[in-house]
Amino acid sequence: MDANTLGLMASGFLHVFSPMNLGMMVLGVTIGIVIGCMPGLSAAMGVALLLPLTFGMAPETGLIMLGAIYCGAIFGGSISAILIHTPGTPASAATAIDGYQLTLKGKAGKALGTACTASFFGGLFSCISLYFFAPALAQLAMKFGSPEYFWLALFGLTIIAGVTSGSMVKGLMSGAFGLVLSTIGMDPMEGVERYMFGVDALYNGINVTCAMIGLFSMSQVFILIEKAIKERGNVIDFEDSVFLKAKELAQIFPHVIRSWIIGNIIGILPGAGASIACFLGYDTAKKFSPRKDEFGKGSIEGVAASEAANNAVTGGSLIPTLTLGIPGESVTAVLMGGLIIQGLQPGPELFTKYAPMTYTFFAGFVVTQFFMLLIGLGGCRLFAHISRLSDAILIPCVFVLCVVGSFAINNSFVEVGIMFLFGFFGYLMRKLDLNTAAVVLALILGPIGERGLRRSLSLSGGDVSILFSTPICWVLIAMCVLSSFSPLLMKVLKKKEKVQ
Amino acid sequence: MKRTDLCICVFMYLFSAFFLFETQKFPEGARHYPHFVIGLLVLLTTVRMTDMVKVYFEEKRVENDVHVAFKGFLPGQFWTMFAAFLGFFALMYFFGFYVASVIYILFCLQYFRIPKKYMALVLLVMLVLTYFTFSWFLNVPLPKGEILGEFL
Repeated sequence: MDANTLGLMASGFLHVFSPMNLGMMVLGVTIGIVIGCMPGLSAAMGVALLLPLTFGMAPETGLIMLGAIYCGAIFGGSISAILIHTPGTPASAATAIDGYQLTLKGKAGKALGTACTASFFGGLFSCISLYFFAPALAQLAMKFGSPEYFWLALFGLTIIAGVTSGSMVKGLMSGAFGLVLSTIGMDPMEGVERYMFGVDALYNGINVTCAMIGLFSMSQVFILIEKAIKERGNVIDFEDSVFLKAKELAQIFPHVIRSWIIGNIIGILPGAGASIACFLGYDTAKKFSPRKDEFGKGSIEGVAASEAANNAVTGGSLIPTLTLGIPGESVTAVLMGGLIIQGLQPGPELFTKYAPMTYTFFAGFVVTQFFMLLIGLGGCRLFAHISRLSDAILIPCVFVLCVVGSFAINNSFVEVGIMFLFGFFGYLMRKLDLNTAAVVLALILGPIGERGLRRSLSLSGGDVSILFSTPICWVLIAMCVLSSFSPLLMKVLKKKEKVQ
Repeated sequence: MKRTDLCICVFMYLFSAFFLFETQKFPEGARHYPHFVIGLLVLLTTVRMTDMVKVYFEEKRVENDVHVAFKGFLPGQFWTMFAAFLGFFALMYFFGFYVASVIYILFCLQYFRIPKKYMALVLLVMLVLTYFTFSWFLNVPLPKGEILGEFL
């Protein structure tokens, strides 16, 4: 790490302590925890819904707020997982196993304290890799030309195969569907209208923020209104302390370190996410723990491992998003949308021209973890009651926020219509096992790929060999092939494992 | 072969056909990329279709899984809420955002039988939140409505 980078890191910490940035961190973490602890809402949905709030802010402040919502929501999911055995987000599914058992034993405070402390360390340690790997990867991206950007976008799209939990072909179909939608708007080379059907608002293509609010937030409203309103379980009042003793801290610390490494790698790998990391962290802790028999019956080690892993994903997942413009999961796709709204393009420029802004955001990400610890430990009794908020109240509130949020983008009814349409499509897609995150990825990466491909062909006079002209192109092609076939490889390996 | 998968494939083919037809209006140079992505969608849909046909020849039946995908679906509640969304848009267009929000939120909470004191609380929180965030902080000119806007 050179002196210039160290200087940028230091100035990032100096800038982050402005009252506005600190205020947005507190607000973001609080909103994030509230969203995370309510089982009807997800982290991606929360970030998408609150994206319009950042329009009037400085880019770094807006990003800090979105990052705080992200971290808060991932931790917040553990509150309902521990207290009412319903994970607020899929990332806390493994936390529910031991967390709820601890609640039944009258140790809910201990479980919440463990979750909060482990989340803090997981998130904080994940910042280390963010500081070390992101600038290195950005430097590599500086060597990218149009052909490399085409392959990079294609690589991002092949990740869809890995993101998909069900049928791989259906996931890829969702991506291709999104790619077709990404061609709506003005042709970037010829300057002619494409599929605009007389709607001028589509001149710059489908607004990605509208699409995200629709696909993640509005579709959730449709999911909530189709079923009978569920009565949530009663929150058990707890009297025990949320603070851990030194002995307990020492007990969970090795698991936190292991889960940090697991979560970080999972986060950096595009396609995997916090929901996978929490189970991997939990399983690894179970294998290494001298108290294996306590797992599943109320082990603080299990809670710590799961929570440290899912929060370690946050910093890791920002690395490919900020340096290469490849959002590995839906929340980072939404965060990338926030970046684009501010007029910034993910890639090397964030570490050169906009480096002060980027390092302020990184510093904000570090400080956010401390606020998460304070707000989490101090407010978990209050958040426990919020987690019981009925879906009947959430439905009108989320819908109104979806409408006002999409309207605020361009002060236009067209955007509201697009959001609603994407919401309905998103609902149908989720019911029919198609992938909404793949559509968002395609909407973001489609124009990048198109520009890369068409500029390359224009430079070479139509000769496609330009797409295979550099070693970086070949590395990216290899990654595309690997990424496309990784689910098939995993299937074969699993089959072999079963036979053995 | 699942009925929902069949519906997805039919939709994707129709969607591709429509977009392909529309490309005829583009000049020659602007057609290539849309053709490329539409071709990709058709190819993937055909791969899926081939898998489904193989399953059909093995099982000799089309499995109706619509009720599985929409398990627990309450048509009355869903379509009432859907109509309420559309009603909200109409109200917002004619009477503005705040009037539409008040009527819509009260209707929804009443429909779900939320106690009166919570209704008042939710309404107050939502109005204060949207006013301070969007009108005051972000300076978003929220719609005043075609009818109400005339008098304001």
